[in-house]
Amino acid sequence: MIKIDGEKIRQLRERQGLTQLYMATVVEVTTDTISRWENKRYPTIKEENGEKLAEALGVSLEDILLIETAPPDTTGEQNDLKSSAKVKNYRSRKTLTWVFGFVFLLLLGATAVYMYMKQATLYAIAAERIMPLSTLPNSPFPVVIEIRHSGTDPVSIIVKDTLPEGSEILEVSPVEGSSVQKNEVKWIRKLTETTRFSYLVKISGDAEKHFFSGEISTSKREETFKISGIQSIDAGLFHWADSNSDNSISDQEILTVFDYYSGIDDFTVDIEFIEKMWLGSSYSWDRDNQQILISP
Amino acid sequence: MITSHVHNTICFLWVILFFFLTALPAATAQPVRAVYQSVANSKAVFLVEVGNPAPASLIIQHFHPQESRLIGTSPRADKIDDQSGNAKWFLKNVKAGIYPFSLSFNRKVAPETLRLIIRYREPQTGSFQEIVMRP
Repeated sequence: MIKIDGEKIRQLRERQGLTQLYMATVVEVTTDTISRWENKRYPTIKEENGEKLAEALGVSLEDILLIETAPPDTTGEQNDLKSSAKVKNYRSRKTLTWVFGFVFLLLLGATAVYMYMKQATLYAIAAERIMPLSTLPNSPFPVVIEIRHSGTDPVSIIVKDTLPEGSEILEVSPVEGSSVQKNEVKWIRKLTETTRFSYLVKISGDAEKHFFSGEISTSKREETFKISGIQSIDAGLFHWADSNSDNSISDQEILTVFDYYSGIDDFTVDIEFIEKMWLGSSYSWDRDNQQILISP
Repeated sequence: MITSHVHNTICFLWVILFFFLTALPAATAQPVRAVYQSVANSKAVFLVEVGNPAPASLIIQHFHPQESRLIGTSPRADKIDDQSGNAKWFLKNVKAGIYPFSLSFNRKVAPETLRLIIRYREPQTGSFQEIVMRP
């Protein structure tokens, strides 16, 4: 509630040739109310009505607020100070309201962001297929599907990878929860952390390029994700560990083989043979005898 | 009042900057280092220090002059090629720690003719790293 100067309001209204009816319409009160405000010397009214009144008169709210006259024994300077303090007090209250409003909105926004982030943290999954780019015909090579689970909640998943025609799955890891059908391997598992699903496969057939496709289904939100990463492999004259197809295993290639494929449990990737290829100067594929020849 | 706010803000920014700068070297520090301990007469000894997290595997390649012949290494090198003058070790399932290597030659070797290269995949990013070291 604020105290206004009724006399001043009347003067301002009459000076602008405005009627009490006009004022009543703008402020959304009755003409009787306007009359009462003008006739009563210092009426107390709602702040929002005061703002509408000031707007109708084309002045600021401070201009129609009561400026109390000083008592007879005070100096004019003190009187000015008191009046100015009242206006300042009103302004600071208004500023405070804005500040509180702003802080409230900020907290509301922060809470919304926190809830969103928390939801995202509970559940964040990505799947990538890691496998060589080329292989020898009928020669086993490893495929790793890495499911990155960076959330905090466990999630049940089904991993399904569909292999090209002419594929033969030789080993899978982990064996628990896995099922192998023709050209398809599946795992069902509860995931609590980043996990690797692997299989050893060989492909026969005359095609030069063989395509893989896979997806992850989750218990949460009944979502399905495509497995990203390498989607095809070339069948040719190069061993799967020879990623740059130069008929030799470089330091970088043996390190990659060891880092990506050697740590798979219950899984036989022939690292020792690849080491022999690395120790040799080069290798070649003997198509007739279906074997790799290593040059010293 | 305003001065105090500005002061606090500046202090806060300095603290953030300090943490960022002090954390940066740790984040970019190499997990593998090497140093020659001694090169005297016909023997060279170097140490490889592996930090945490350790790479899964390491390849160490040591180069020596072609006119010198390598007569012994410890641990035993996986590959020795005296014609091009180098020896290679492939370390698997590497753990953090210090690994000493020694090489014995058939003649005296000058320190400036020796060189060492360590290759590994950075454990956190998977990027291929190569470190070159000389005595």
